[in-house]
Amino acid sequence: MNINDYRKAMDHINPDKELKERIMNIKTFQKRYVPVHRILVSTLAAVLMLTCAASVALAASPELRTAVLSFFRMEEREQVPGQSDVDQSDISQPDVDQPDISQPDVDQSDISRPEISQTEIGSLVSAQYIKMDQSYGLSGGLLNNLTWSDDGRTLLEADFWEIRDNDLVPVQVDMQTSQIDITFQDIHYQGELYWFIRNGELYFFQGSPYGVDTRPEDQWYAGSIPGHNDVLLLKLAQGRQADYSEYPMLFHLDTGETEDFLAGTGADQLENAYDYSWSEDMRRALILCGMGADGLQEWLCDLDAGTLIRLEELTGLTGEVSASFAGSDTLILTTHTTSKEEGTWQTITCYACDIPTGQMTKTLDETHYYRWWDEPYGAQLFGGRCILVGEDGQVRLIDLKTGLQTVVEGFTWQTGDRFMPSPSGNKLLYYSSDSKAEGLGIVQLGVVDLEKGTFIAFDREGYGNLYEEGIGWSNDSTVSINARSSDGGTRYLILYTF
Amino acid sequence: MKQTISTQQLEAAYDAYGAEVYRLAMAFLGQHADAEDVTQETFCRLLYRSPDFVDESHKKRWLLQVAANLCRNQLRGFWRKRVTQLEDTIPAAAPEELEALHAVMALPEQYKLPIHLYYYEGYSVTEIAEILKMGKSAVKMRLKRGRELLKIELEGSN
Repeated sequence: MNINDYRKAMDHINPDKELKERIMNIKTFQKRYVPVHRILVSTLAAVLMLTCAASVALAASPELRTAVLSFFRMEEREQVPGQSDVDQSDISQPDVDQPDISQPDVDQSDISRPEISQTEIGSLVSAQYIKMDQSYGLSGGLLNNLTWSDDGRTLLEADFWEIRDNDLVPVQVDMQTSQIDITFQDIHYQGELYWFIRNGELYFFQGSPYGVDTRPEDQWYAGSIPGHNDVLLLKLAQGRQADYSEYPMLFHLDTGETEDFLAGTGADQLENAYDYSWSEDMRRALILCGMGADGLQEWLCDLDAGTLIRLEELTGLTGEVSASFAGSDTLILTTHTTSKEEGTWQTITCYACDIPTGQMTKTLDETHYYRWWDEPYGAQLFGGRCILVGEDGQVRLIDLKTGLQTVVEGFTWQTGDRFMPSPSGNKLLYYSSDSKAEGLGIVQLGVVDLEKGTFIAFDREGYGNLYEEGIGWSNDSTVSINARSSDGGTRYLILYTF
Repeated sequence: MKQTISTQQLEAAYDAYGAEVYRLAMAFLGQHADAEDVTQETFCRLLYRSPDFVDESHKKRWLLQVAANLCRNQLRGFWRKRVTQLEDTIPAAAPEELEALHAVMALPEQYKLPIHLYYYEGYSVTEIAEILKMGKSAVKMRLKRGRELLKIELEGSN
């Protein structure tokens, strides 16, 4: 393998022919390219302003409240097993009594099964190493192996295992099938949705998002709604790039009915709406719409009040503003200055807007934006929170809702360090990569619990035994690393519970 | 918003450099959909914000520079930070080619673009410094580090 292989492989990569057509149609559409939904969260910035304009008092005093959080680096180290280690006899083999939704009489001995081993790292973290002959999924606390039909529409077979200490225990599930069959704006969305409820938790798996007779870009996606196991959020998408738009509906699992819950709020009449972010209680939505050459517009929809407000009309900030929810009643708004040469963010200013009262508080003021490629210090945004890395490597955590700054004592930011918010946003995964390693090469791993005010981390030895491909949160208390053997023949899932 | 070039010029520029812009985005982001986003935004900026170009090579460098900045912005997104994942999104190719491609794509972010621009596009250190808006010494350091990390035979293969 040499660099010519890279060149040859790169030569195979060509953009879709439709891309040129879409680009050339930018003019035809009489609207400027709308930054696509995927770029959004970063560039998001329609002209958005705070609802609360004239009466707003900017309490620009983020320095007033400061707390301290201590970094605890555990003495115990993780010994990451290599392939041979995971093969040892301490690995539990699950029972063979596995569920099979379509072929109950299949010879179970033919089914390959994942294997598990477990260890404790100090008394604070447990690690589980799951070895697999192929990629298995993980949802909730269950490992799954799903087999779909060739067209991806039908679930043919599904096996589930509960990860219980040092065992993978096969579980039977009562799999239900719901048909998605919705016509919206003359597009017929079709497909199958598979789901079950276990221990009060909803698990769902969707088949192909493409309808039988629709364009490939017209797709549907199901998403969960926190706190509900009887209803899902359906996202009905159409178009691509400049034409892309989405519309959300509720799908009631017990009846199979869809509900247009935005009907009557005015949000159902918005054109080119393509991104929705929801408050914690899902009673409010920020909706982003493409406005052609005029850029973007952002709207705040209140489901309880049945109102739709263009944020620009309600606020006093000028320029590009990006918005996100912090909880159910607060918006975090960020303005920025831009580097003239590069067009990238230079400094950021954040405001917390209490939606019911309209009171606005500045919680971050003209702060250098973290630029990992040339100036790796400054503020990194994580929804309602921010990490502020000083030029000396000192780290502060800032609650952008309250302005509370928490100094992290005993910790110095190093090149290669990363933080990643948990699904709730109440915890941060911390990891540090060895740039010399193949793959991610995670040398140190930890979690900041923002509610408890703790930050623990441990060193990892033997991380080079496996090629680590990915890291992320599985749920709010479990971090997972995906890895594979050097030959790619065996896959590993490592779960850490803090 | 006023266009700075004609539609014909846009098409000519896409035909000439669209694939290069897309490949740079693929090298950095590793996902077709994201690379398409960056490519489209890059040419949109050409349509509405392009400066006067000295020559074609200037135009190409400008396009790659815009694309590189957009790639960095892509990774800035909050939700992207939830999971870091190296993905296989590459079309059919010989195993050794895929291996080389995956090796570059798996590099830490700061090394991907210098490596791609140097070894695929054939730019000099000075040109890469201009495109990526960084000092020549920083480019050299990243190329050196990137080579060390790649563990594939980079030299003597032209």
